[in-house]
Amino acid sequence: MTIKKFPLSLSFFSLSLAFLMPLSLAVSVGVSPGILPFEDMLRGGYAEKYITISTSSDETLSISTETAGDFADWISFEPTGGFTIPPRSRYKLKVIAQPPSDVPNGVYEGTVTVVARIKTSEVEGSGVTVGAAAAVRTSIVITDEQIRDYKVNEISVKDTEEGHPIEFRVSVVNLGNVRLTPRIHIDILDRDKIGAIKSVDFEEVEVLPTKGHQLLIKVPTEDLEIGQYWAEVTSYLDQKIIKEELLTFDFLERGALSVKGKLNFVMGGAWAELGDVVRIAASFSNIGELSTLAKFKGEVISGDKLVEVLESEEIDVAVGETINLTTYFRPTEIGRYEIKGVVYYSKKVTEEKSTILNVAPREPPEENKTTESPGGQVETAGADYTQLIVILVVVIAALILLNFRKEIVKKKRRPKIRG
Amino acid sequence: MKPKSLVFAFVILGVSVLLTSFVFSDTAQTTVDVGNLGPQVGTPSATDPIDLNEGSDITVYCNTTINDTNGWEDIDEVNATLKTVQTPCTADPDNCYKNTSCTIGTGSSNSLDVNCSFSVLWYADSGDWYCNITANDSQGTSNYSSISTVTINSLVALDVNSSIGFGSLSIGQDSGNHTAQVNNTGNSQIDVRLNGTNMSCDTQGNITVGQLHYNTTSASDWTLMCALTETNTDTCSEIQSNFDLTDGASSNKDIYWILRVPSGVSGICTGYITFTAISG
Repeated sequence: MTIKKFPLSLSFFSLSLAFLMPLSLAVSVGVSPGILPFEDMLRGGYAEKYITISTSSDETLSISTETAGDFADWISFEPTGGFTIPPRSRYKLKVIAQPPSDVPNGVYEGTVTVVARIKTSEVEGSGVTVGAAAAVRTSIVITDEQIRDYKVNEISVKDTEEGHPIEFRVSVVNLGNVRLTPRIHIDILDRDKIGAIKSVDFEEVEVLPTKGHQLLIKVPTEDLEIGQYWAEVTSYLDQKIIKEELLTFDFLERGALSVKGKLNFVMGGAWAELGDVVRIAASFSNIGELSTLAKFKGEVISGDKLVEVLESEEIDVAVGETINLTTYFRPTEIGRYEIKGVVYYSKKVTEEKSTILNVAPREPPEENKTTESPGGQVETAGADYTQLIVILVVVIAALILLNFRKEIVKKKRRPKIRG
Repeated sequence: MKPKSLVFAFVILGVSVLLTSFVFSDTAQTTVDVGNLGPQVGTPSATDPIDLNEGSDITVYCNTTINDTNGWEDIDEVNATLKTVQTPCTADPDNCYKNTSCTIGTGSSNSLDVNCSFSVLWYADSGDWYCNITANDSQGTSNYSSISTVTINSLVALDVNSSIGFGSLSIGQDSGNHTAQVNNTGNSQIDVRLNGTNMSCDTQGNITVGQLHYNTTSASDWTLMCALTETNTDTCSEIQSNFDLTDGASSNKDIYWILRVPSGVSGICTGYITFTAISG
């Protein structure tokens, strides 16, 4: 960006005007999107949208907002009043439309304008200050049709200690033009995800049209034992499923610090030759607040067949540390293997991760190379009898030809008998 | 069988062996290949919609999951294109961005999540964009994703010098031309609406807003220029509705200002002018 410098004017006369100017910088502002339609609004209804204000100015900007047009009085902003934004930053401004209850159906147009001024220019305040502004063309469509819909952006749950409820957070956005109350159903499952231990239904919070809301659902824990659990969370609009998600959480002893680990991945190098010893590494991170012993247990599977069971040594993993839990596998047949497993730590188990190992035949000596089809069948050139059969056929044909030629020669040489 | 015939037979045998050996040794040279199958790239998901940053860039992400029957570790290289057309394109900040080395993380079993980012500039076209991701495996086999649509919103923006100085003037004097350069720092063509306030003087009087005149031509006569008003209604079509400043890497136009000092004022006079960009 160019910064223009204007000379300071230091002298003025009794009958003259002096416009003393500070160093002149550039002021810039942008608003996106450049058009803001509020569609399908009910009279007396509510809708909100966000516009992004951005600036590449090197100075802090004072921001104010203005509305103009048919609906100037129906539009408000959050935050209300002016605010400042730092240099080279962006800011999301909420624009709220609330048409009155007696307005006729139709399309109403106007502008929402964001005005930016360099904050320090006002303090130095001598001369003509320039403000930069960006206007957003805005429209509001008033209709009679009611629309009911919503979406779920995120579902989360945190670990809980004894004496506290489990807290689920479900982030929803009302996509319609009427208020609605999302229904959330939660099934709590044990560590092996077999059967629901308990179920909860939540349908308590009304969400305004176009508005986002984070639902907080507290599930009592009096009947839960210490351990790891899974939760199947389903959100509904009437009978329609909006979103389903499976989450895990720990229910801990009172005052216990969280022991939490994560299996990042399992690696085996993707490709190996028959007879190679393959190093299997399971990357484990201790993301809790206490050190823990960790052990990888895995299986090597080929097709539906369990080929080998893997188990690493148990290793002490410090807080914040990431280590590889290592095991080894020597494939005895060519083909595709899946190596999958989990890490056991402090009576807990991680999510399962896996990798694929493709085992090719060992590279043969030059004179006896092998070929293989994708199905995994090996053809060896040295064991092929086709070559021998072809040779024999050629030799026999040659001998027959030779013999036939000899007979002809004999016939030609036979003396003629004269009477 | 005579010795001559035997010699002939052995010659044929020798030639046959030589020829067949040659033919079959060609088959034996085939490369070892244990069923390599190419990666399968999933439909990408991207930041949507995208609000650009005025006069600057913004990082846009396009992510996907890639599956490879030979395992996630077999996926070797991933690149991506963000573009306004569904066909291949040449890199251009207006309509085509490329990432030739997406971030490959870690995966599980056959699948791997990848993150591709693009630094998109302020004048990138608004409208529908398409993200396309291509993956190669360690054996050189490649596959590309189906296309995913994202929207880049329009950005209305401008950049202008933050003040205009007129120097020392006498009563009745014109200031001469003073330039304000307007840069379009968004991705929409803009007109500029202008409005201002009276200039208050610290010793005596006010200069009414209409004493400030402007147009797009330098060396103009003050009387022929547009007078500034307190509201930004269209009173000067050459700027307020026909300015038509296009978007681009360096798109700007000058607006020239002249102040005529009225009688009855003295001292330091200050006021405000607002330049408002509006799509047009």
